[in-house]
Amino acid sequence: MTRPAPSTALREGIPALAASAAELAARRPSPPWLQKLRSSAIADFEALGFPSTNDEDWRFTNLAPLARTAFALAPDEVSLAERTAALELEARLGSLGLSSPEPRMAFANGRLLRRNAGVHPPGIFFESLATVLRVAPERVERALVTRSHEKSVPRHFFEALGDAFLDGGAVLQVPAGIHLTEPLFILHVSTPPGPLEAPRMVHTRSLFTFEENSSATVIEAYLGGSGPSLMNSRTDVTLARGARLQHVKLQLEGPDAFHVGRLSVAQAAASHATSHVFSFGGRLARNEVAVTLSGEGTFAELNGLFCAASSQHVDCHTLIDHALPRGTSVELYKGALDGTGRGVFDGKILVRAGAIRTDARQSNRNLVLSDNALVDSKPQLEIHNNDVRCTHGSTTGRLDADAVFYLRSRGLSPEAARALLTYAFGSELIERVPSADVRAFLENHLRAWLPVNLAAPESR
Amino acid sequence: MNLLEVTNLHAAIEEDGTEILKGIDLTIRPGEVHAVMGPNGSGKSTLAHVLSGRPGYVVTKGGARFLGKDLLAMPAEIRAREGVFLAFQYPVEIPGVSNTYFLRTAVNTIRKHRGQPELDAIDFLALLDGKAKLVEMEEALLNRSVNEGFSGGEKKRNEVLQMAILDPKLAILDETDSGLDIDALRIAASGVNALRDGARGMLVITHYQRLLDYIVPDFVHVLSDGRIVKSGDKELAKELEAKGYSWIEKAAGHAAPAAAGTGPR
Repeated sequence: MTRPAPSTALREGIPALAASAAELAARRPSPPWLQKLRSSAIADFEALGFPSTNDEDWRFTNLAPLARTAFALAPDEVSLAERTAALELEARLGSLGLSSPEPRMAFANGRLLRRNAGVHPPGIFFESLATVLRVAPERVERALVTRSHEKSVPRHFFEALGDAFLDGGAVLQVPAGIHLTEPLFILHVSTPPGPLEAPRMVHTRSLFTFEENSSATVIEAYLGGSGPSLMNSRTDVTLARGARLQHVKLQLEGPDAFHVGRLSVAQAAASHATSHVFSFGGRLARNEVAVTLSGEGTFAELNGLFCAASSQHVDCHTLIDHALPRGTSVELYKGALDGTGRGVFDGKILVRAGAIRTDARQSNRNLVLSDNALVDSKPQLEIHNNDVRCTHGSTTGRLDADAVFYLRSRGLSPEAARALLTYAFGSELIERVPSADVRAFLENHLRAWLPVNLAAPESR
Repeated sequence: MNLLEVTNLHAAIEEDGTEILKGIDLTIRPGEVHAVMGPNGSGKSTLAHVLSGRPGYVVTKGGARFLGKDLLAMPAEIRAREGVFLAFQYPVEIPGVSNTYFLRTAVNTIRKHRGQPELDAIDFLALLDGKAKLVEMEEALLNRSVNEGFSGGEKKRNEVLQMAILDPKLAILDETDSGLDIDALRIAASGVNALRDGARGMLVITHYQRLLDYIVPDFVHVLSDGRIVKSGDKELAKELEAKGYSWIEKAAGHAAPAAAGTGPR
C-alpha cells in the first residue's frame, strides 16, 4: 500500500529533534544496551515521522501545529525560576498539592523537583528513572528492552521519540502482598520558558511493577502554565497475579500545551486494573490507554472524561486486548465539548482466538454543548472467537430539553440549568475515583470549567 | 387582586400548529383550589404546560395574568421565581445531581429573586428536614440523585416536597395521582393539603375524581376539546365519576377527539 507523502510540516522538525536526542544521549554515560535503545529509537522516529491524518490512528487529529513548533529540552539543572513557577502551578492542586502527606514525586519540565518517600511499608521501591538509569540501570533493563506491553500495538512515533529522549520519569516497584493504603502522587509540571528560550518539551517514562497480590492507587497529574509546551508521557505497568491498581490521570495543562500520553498495562491472571483519565487541558491532548488481559480471569475498568472548550482538541484512544479466557472489561468514556472544542473517542476491544468467556462492555457518551463543537466516536470490536459477550454503544447528543425545563421550572436560569446538567454528566466519572481528595479536586475543577458558577454542594 | 386570570387562552403545538387550547377562561383567587378535569386529549396538561412556560407551544390568542403581571411574557424560570410552581406529571430524572443540592440551588435562586437572604447549608437542612417529614420522605432519597430510580410514589412526593420548600403562590399539580397506588396518593395529597394556607392558590389537574377525595377543591371545571365546558363545586366531580365524560361532551355539542395526543412532553 502506498501512502501520500506526509506534508512537509510533519517532517521539517525531525532533524532538530534527532540532533537534540543525540546530544542528550552523549551527555548521559550509559551501558551499551541503553545506548543502543536510544540510538535505535532515534533512527525509528526519523523513519516514522510525525503521523499524518492518513494514518488511521490519527485520522481525526492533525499534528501539524505540534510538528511545526521547535521545542527544546530544558537544561539539566532546575532553575530557580522554574522552581518558583512549578510551586505556583502546584498550588492550583489545592489539597492535592504541597501540603499533602502522601508519598509523591514532582517533576519540573521532566527533571526531578522533589521526592517525598512518605510513610509507606518497607520494601517499596520509589525512585526517579533518571536516578535509576544513573545508579542501577539493570533494574529497569528488562522492562525497557522487552517492550512486553506493546505486542498488539505497532510502535508509534511518540513511543520512539520517548525512547530516544529516555531520561526522566518515575519507577515504582511494589513487593508481593503489600497494600499501599494512601494514594501515591506523581506530578509533572511544565513551566513556561524564559523570554529568550524555545518552548519546552518533556519526554517522560514511568515504570510501575506490582508483584503478586499487591495493590495501590497511583495518581499522575500533568500541570502547565501558559505558552506552548510538549509533554510526551508514557507509563508502563505490569500487574502480577492478583495485583490491583487504581490509576488516575489528571491532564490539566495550559491552553497552548500539546500532550501525548500513553498508559500501558500488562495484566497477569486474576489481576485488576482500573484507569481513570480526566483530560481538560491543552490545545491538543491525546490520551492513550492500552490494557492487555494476558492472564485468565483478569478484570479491567477504563473510565474517561474529556472536556474541550474554545479551540481545544482532545483525543482519547483506548485498546483493550483480551488475550486469554474469562477476562472482563468495562469501559465508560464521556466527552463534553463546548465552544469550538473538538473531541475524539477511538476505543477498540480485541478478543483474540481462544479468549473464550470474554465479557467486554464499552460505552462512549458525548455531550455537545455548542453548535461549533464536534466529536468523532469510533468504537471498534474485533472478535476472533465464539462464546464471548461483547457490547458497545456510542451516543452523541445535546442536553436533555426536558431536564433543562425541569430545572428552569424550579427557578434556575437556562445557563445555570445547562451548567448543572453538564456537571452532572461529568460527575458520574468523578464519583468512581477512589480518593476523596481527588474527587473533591475534580468536582471543583469541573465546576470551574463550566461557563456558569455553580455553588459547591454541602455535605450532610 | 386575582392570583391567576386566564382570558380566552388559545394555544397550539409549535411544531405543527395543532390548536389544543381553544379559549380558556379561568380565575383563581388567593386561597382557592380549582380542579380541572377532562378526558384524555382535552388539553389539561397543555394548560399546565402553557401556564408554566414549557417550550413547544405558541399562544395564538388571549392571555394570562399572574398577580396582575403578564404571565405569558415571562420565561419559565421567572414564572417560578415569581411564585408559580408546576408539579410534573412525569418528574424528570437527573442523574448526578443530588436532590438536596438541587433543592438548595432552587430555593436560593428563588429567595434571591424575592430579595430574601440565601439560606446557608445549616438553615437549609433544617428547612429540608421539616418539609421532608410532611411528605414522609426518607433521608436516603434526599441524598440520591434527583428522581433517579425513585418509584412513582417517591417521585410525586418529591414534587410535593419541592413545592413545600419553594413556597409558591400558585401551585399547578399536573395529574399528581397518575400511576399512584392508594397509599402513595394519600401521602402526596396530605402533603398538598398541609400547604393549603388560605393564601396559596392551586390548580389541580386530574383525569379521575379519586384525587379530589383527598384534595377537596373549591371549584371543579370540566375541560373538553380545549374549552371549559362546565364549572361547578366538588359535587360536579362526583357526577363525572358516576356518569363519565360523555354526557358533558354531548351537552357541549362535540365529542372528544379520537386521538389522545397531548402534545410534546
